[in-house]
Amino acid sequence: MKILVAVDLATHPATDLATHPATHLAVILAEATEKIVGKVESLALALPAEVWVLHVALPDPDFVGYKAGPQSERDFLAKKFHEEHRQVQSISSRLQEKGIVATALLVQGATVETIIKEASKLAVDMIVVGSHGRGMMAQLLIGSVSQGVLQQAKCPVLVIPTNKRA
Amino acid sequence: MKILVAVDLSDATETIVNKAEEIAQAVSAQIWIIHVAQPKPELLEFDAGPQAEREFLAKRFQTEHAQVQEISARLRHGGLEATALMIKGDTVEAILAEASKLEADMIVVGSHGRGMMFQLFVGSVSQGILSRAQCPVLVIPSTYPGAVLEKTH
Repeated sequence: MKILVAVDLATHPATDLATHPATHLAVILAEATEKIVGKVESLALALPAEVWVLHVALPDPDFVGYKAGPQSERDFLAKKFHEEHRQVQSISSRLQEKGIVATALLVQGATVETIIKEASKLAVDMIVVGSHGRGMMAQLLIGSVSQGVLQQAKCPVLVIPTNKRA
Repeated sequence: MKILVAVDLSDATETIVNKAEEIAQAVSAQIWIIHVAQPKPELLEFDAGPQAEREFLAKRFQTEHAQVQEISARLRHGGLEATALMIKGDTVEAILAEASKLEADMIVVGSHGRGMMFQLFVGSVSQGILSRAQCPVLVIPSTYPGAVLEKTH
């Protein structure tokens, strides 16, 4: 069995500056990711399943209104991309240490489309997502990414509750 | 591990049950098949009187009960510890209440429900469950068997 896990790692400048101190947001994300990875770990061990850990990096700067020039913008994005790469690798090594065949994937693109595309490319049997993302839609019943994945997925989708109420 | 499978006894039910069975077998889980019967008829405008209506509902309830029992018997035959549950009430509320009562580790639902919300991409039942469930929810797309067929072409 093959499982594709979509994790949400990056901090989001547009929202975290507006509503959360960056550190606070990082903690929230870490908890959500931890919940998802923990569930996947026990499921993958039991089934057993091969796991792909996918993080979709945004293709463009999140926020185009700032004044910084192209060079510092490139530096910022490169650094962010590097950090996300390190995190997704560390999740995959953590699964590997438990004896699970795991692969880290970092792909740039639109989040939902990339998850769906990777899922069909790998012919996975299940996609795992968190119920709530970050950003403007966090207050909705279900996050926009899980909503989009549910609408377009051709395989079963396991939605892990990551909201505070759960 | 405990798995609660919500079925609406539509065409999608078999796919959902099969997937749940596969997972339950793999993780040696206990499985509950839940069907929530509507407390009221779906169509309010038919002309039949109260007696005919009661008989109709009683008969439908019996049929559904038999179907749910049959699913759980089939799963038990496959070696799983399976229980059939038939509950009257509001679909989402009843599923969530049972999930928390049983302390289910996973709820399995189909992506499309019946009823007024049918035209939406994600059915109102799975939507309601997803937004409030305390445990992971496995959503099986109603197109899933079709997707498997496509691969063989």
